[in-house]
Formats: sequence, C-alpha cells, structure tokens
Amino acid sequence: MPFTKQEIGDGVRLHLCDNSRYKTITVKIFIQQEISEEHVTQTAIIPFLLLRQLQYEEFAGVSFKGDIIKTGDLQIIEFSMEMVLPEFLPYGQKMAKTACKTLWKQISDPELVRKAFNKKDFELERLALKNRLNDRVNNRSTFARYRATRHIGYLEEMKIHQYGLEEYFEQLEVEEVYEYYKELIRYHPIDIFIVGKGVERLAKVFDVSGLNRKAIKRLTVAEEIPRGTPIDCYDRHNVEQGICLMCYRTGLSYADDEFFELVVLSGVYSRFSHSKLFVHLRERATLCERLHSFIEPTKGYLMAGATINVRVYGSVLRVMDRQLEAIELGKITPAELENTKKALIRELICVEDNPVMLIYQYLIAVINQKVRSVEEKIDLINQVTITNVQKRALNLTLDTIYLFHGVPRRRKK
Amino acid sequence: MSYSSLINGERLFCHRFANGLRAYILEKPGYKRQLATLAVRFGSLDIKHELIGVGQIDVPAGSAHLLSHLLLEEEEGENVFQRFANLGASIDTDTFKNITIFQVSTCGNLLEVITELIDFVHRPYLIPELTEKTRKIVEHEIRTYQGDCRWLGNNNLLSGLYQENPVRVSEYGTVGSIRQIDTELMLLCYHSFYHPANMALFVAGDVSAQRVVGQISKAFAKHDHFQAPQVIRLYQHEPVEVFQSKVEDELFISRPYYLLGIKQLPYYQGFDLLRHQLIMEFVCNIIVSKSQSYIKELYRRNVFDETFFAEFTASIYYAYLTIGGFTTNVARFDENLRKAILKLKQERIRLDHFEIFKHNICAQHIRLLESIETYAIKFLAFQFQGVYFQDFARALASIDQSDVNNALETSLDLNQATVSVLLPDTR
Repeated sequence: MPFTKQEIGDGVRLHLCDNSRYKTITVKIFIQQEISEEHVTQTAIIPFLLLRQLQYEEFAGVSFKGDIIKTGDLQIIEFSMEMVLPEFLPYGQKMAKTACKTLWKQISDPELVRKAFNKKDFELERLALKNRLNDRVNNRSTFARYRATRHIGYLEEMKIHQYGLEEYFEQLEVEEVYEYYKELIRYHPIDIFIVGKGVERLAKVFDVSGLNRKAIKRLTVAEEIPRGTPIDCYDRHNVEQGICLMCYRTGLSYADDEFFELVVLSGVYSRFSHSKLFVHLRERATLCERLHSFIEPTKGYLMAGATINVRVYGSVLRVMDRQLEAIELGKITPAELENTKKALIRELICVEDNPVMLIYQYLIAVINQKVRSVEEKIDLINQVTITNVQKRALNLTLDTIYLFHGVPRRRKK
Repeated sequence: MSYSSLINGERLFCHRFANGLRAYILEKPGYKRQLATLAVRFGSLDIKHELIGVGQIDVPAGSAHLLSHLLLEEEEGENVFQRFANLGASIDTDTFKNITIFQVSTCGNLLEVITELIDFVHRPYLIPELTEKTRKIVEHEIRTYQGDCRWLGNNNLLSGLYQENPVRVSEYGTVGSIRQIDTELMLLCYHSFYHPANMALFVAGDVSAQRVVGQISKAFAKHDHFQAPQVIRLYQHEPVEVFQSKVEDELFISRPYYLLGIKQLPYYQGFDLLRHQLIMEFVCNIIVSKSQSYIKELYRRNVFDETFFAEFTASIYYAYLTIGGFTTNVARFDENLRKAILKLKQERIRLDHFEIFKHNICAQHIRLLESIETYAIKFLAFQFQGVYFQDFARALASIDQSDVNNALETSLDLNQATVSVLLPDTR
C-alpha cells in the first residue's frame, strides 16, 4: 500500500506516503459530510473563506488551495498545500513545517472578528461563490455531466452541486456559517494525506487535540432510487456543438469487486481510442471527434457519450445503442478485451507518478471502505472475461439520455 | 551524446543522429510512466514556404494539424490507435504554432513503442477518401474549440494583436480553410517537412539513454530517406502596431471573459530568449501576486478573482503578454487593470520580493518537470528555436533585480495592446 494510516484523533485519519521519488510535498485535507440542501451552500463557502486570509507571498515555492468536491452523496471540503522539496528552496525544511502549520491553523483555529468570521471577507466570498457556481457552464463537459447527474439523481441528494444552491446565497449569514464550521471541524470525518520525501516529520504539525472531537458522524451512502422508465432531457443554449450523454445505473460501487468488470465494460465501450464508440462513432461514421466516458465510483452510475453536431443526434444514438447491444450479445473480440485491460493496468500503475491522483484514488477507496493495493486491482482486472463484460452490459439500466445543445448564432463585432 | 544532471538523480541526454534527428532522453529513476514524443517542425505558422526547385507553396490554415490526423490512418481501415493499443500504449497528436507532435504514453515496453512511433510516421497512407474522412472529424474538433471560451478569447486576441504574422491564425485552421486542402497538398507537406532533420524526439521514463539511442538508430535504419528538401519558411513582415485595439465576441458563458494582450517585438534568440522568457515570468508573477498593495486591494474588492492570470509567450517570431480573467464588469476590470499596469511600470521590485519570485519561478519549473507530457511539448517547441531547458538554472541565476525593473518599465506598453472580450450570449 502506498499509504500508512494512523488514527490521530476521533475520526481523524492521517495517511502518509513517504517516498523520495517525488519532487514535491503534497498535503490534502478532506472534511466530509452528507450533501443536503440545508447545509450545502454554507459548507461551500468555508474553504475559500478560511484560506482568504493566508499571506501567500510569505511562502516562496508553496501553493495553497481550497475547494469543494463531491462523490456520490458526499460533499467534501478540500484544502491543499503543495511545495517543491525543501532542498530546492532556501530555508526549505523550516518552510515546509511553517507552511503546514499555517494551513492547519487556518483550518483548525482561524482568525475571528467578534467570535465569527470576518464579515467583509464573508461578503466578498459570497459573491465569489456565486460566480464560481455560475462559471460551471464555461466548461461544457463538466457542466453536461453535472446537468445529467441532476436528472439521474432527481430523487437523490447527489443531484445537488457541491458549490451550493443559488437561492441560498442571499440567506447566508456569517454567524451561522461560523457555527456550522465549528460543527464540521468537531463532528465530521477528517482525512489528512501527506505525500513526499521525509513527510513523517510533518505529521506532528496536525495536532487535533484542541478540536474537541467527539461523537463523530457516521456517513452513509444512500441507496439509489431507480427511475421506472428512462427519460430524454436536454438543455438548450447558444452553443456550436452539443454534448450527448447516455446515463446508466449499474447497481455497483467501488466497494464491489464486480466494479472492475464495469470499468472494463466502460473501456471496451467508450473510454479508449480502441473502444467500440471511438471506432464506430468517430472513425467509421465520423459523427464526432471527442468522446466522453465516466463512472461515478461511489454511486456507480455510468455515462458515455460524445460532443456532437445536434443535427446528427439521432444517428449518434443509433450507433451508441447498436454498439452496446453488440456487447450485450458478447460480440467482443479478444483484442478489444485485452487492449482494454492493458490500458487500464497502465493507468493504475502510472497513478503512482502523480501525488494528487494518488491521493484522490485513495480517498475514494477510504470513503467506500474498500482499500485495495495496485496488485489487487490489477488482479481483478485481469480476471474479467468476455462473459463478465457481457453480463455487466446486460445489467445496465438506462436512466437518462441527456443532450446539451443549441443553435449557433455567434457574431463578431 | 552529452548529458546534463537535473534534480533528484534525473539526467537529460542529448544526441544528434547522422540523419539530422535530435533526440533528448530524460532518465527518471522510479518513474512508472514512459513517454515518447516525436515533434515535427511543421506547425500552424508554416503556411507560406518556398521549396527550392519547386517554388513558393502557400497552404491553407490548419494544414499541419489535418496532416497529423491523416498520418494516424492506415490501409484497409486500420489505424495507428489500434496498433498502439495492442502494445498497451496510447497515442495523442496535437499541433502548435511551430510544431506537430505525436505523443505516446506507455508503461514497460518503451523500446517497442519508439520503433512503432518512428515506423508509422514513415508510412503515410494518404488517399482522398481518408482526407475526406479526417476532414470531417477535424471539423467537429474545430467547432468544439470554437465553443471553448479560453480558446476563443485567446484566438480573438491574437487576431487583434497581429496583422500579418501567422500566429494570428488558429492551430486548427477553420472549417473553411481545411476544406481547401486536398490529398496532393498533404503529400507535398509530408514530403517537405516529415524528414529526420526536421524532427526531434523526447523520451522520458525509468530507462537507459544508451538503449533508447540504440533503438532509435535501429528504427530509422529500416527506412529509406529521400533527400531532405530545402525549405525556406516565409514569414511576412509584421508591423509594430497592433491590428485592432479591441475584439469583441459573444459566447454562451456565465460572465464576460476579458483578455489584454501586449505585443512585443521578438528581439531574442537562443539563450537570450530563454532568459527573456524568465524575466517576463517575474513580471507575470508580480502582476498576479498580492505583493503590490494596489493589486492586493483589487483582489480584496473582487475586481480580480481566482481566474485572474498573466502569462508570457515568447518565440523567435513573436512575443506577447496576456493578462485577464473572468469579470462581472468589463469596464471596471479594464480601468483598474490599466491603472495597475501604469503603476507597475514605475515600480521597483524589492529585493525580498525578487528572491521570493525567483523561488516561485524555480518551483514552477520543477512542477513542470513533474508534468512530463507538457514539459516534453514545451521542451521540443523551444529547442527548434535554439532554446534549451537544461540552461534554465543558468538563465535564472543570470537575472537580477535591474532586469526585472527594466522589464516592468519597458514591456508593459499599453500603446501596443489589444483587448479581447467575450460577452455572455444567453439566447
């Protein structure tokens, strides 16, 4: 396992990966909660507000970042610190410790004004959060994925965006946000990851004794609520190319060993440049250039699709259906299966080169309470047969067909 | 073969083969990914050239990019993607201003992958049916990029900054321009530019440079090389002045996207170009940092936010600075940015800030070394201009406060500026 785990306080897990091959030290701290309409917006402002006061200029070669991520029904506050190895910086050893201490101080014991966050900062972050939420449309692929998720999870909390709900922005009060922050830091699970050379000595910085941690919330992933009949839905905007996504329930999550059959299915179907959709939709039918493929690991739904010209939407759906039917009929060549396995195994091995990807992958395993070594994952992939992939395809339930599209009418002045 | 020691036991080997190919091998102990990137010096700038014995050839915008896609095609419906997938590798191609790259990522069988990479670029299968098919796929790609605000904003900025320089033309061309390209033209471009002397290969991973060099040698030995044609690249004279002071466009986005470009004359070459690039990185760091109280105040008032950025692009053919980000109020953003620039021009950087920025730039470079795909592309694009990243430490060490102060004073000329604004189109 790349990480060693220690429980350093009630519900606070420290994951260390001490490895001299990295040129950076990466620290990530995650605080989890179940996403809910009630708390999503006030939670979304917290990491940005806490880091707003940081005097970044004092830390040469160090970067700090706050963000909010989501997996399944969980909203996760993320704090990051990344610096190049101390030996490349003057006073590097001292800098690494000081940077970690400063980050931890901002998170665990922030500066207050009249027993709450600074109100001026709060007002500015409220506006920034609103912009951040609206800016989602600027990245077409992630926006389409978010909109499709809203439709798939229309009866589940996973439909809520991690940056909150616009209608709640005006109601946010600084005092309430501070009260809720105290609740999060005291009662919610915290995972601290440190990756890099000689990081053990940094672990002591993360002292949780002052947090008064108790009665830690046990977070659960809610059961999926399947839709009876699949629906077609769309968003129409003035865009040049549309994005079409077919969304399936799979009945699996990362915790299941069969999840790796699903990963192989996604590879055979749409994920790689040897996949069926790449060959048939792009190379043979020339209906697209870019394909989309995504598996949500915690709720286990699968999306496959393409960036398309909306005029060929019908043809795209026909090709997608036909290729999935082929898999359901077991029409998978040994080369398709083997090449998919090779590509997936390559990705698994190469994750180790990238500390950030390594942390995210491990976080998903921790959340789903199923930590596997790279070797175990490779074994699971190698065991997948054509029959397994066929069975996985037959077990897919089409939930939503989503189309983001429009009629281009741009003009240049 | 010569080598430079980098950091963490990494070494960069350089070798020039008899056929003119330049190879760079970055030995990265412990690294799992293996990467081979082949660059051909044929990019979107190369739209006018003279072939000695043939005459002047003008090619439509997007030719280099379309050719790179076409080379992935093989006889009888096969393609190069499949060939690399069989090896457990994946290939990507892209076109930049001065190069086209083919980048293969693998894990454990690098030598085979290198052979395959060299083989397929020597095996063009250019027929009208495939040109037509490839054109359709590339048209989708162009339309997709036209919906990407960062791409469109930058493209519009360059078309406003430059009058004649082909940097103003997109790497992918337009749907109209690529429709003018036929198979004969693709063959002519292939034979003009796809020659070892016009190529460079960057290989990275936990590998032995000696073995990689041996493998490259073997792979090239299989192929007969035609005489490298003499190509003279024709670049038209670019006036000093910008073409348009403002370019405005509409797109479905959340709020306006603003870019200010400042055009510079491309004075520098070789080591001096690298040094100038680094000096301008100081300037960019100063612009986006909160070290100056008036810029800090703009962040505090949310005039600038996390999307605010500054970057400098240097080449032997063009040079420009880009500053911008998303805003809710274009006029306020523009006014405040211009005021801040005028103040910066009179600024003298403090020694402690200079040291901090120097370490930040060093850290950015080390991070770039970890993002090996991007590093390979930048390295290759620069080395064709006589700029070598292994000189980074020497170039950075040669910069002092007065260089940065001088750049602040001279490089932020608002008379050489173009603004590109994308406004939200909510229809």
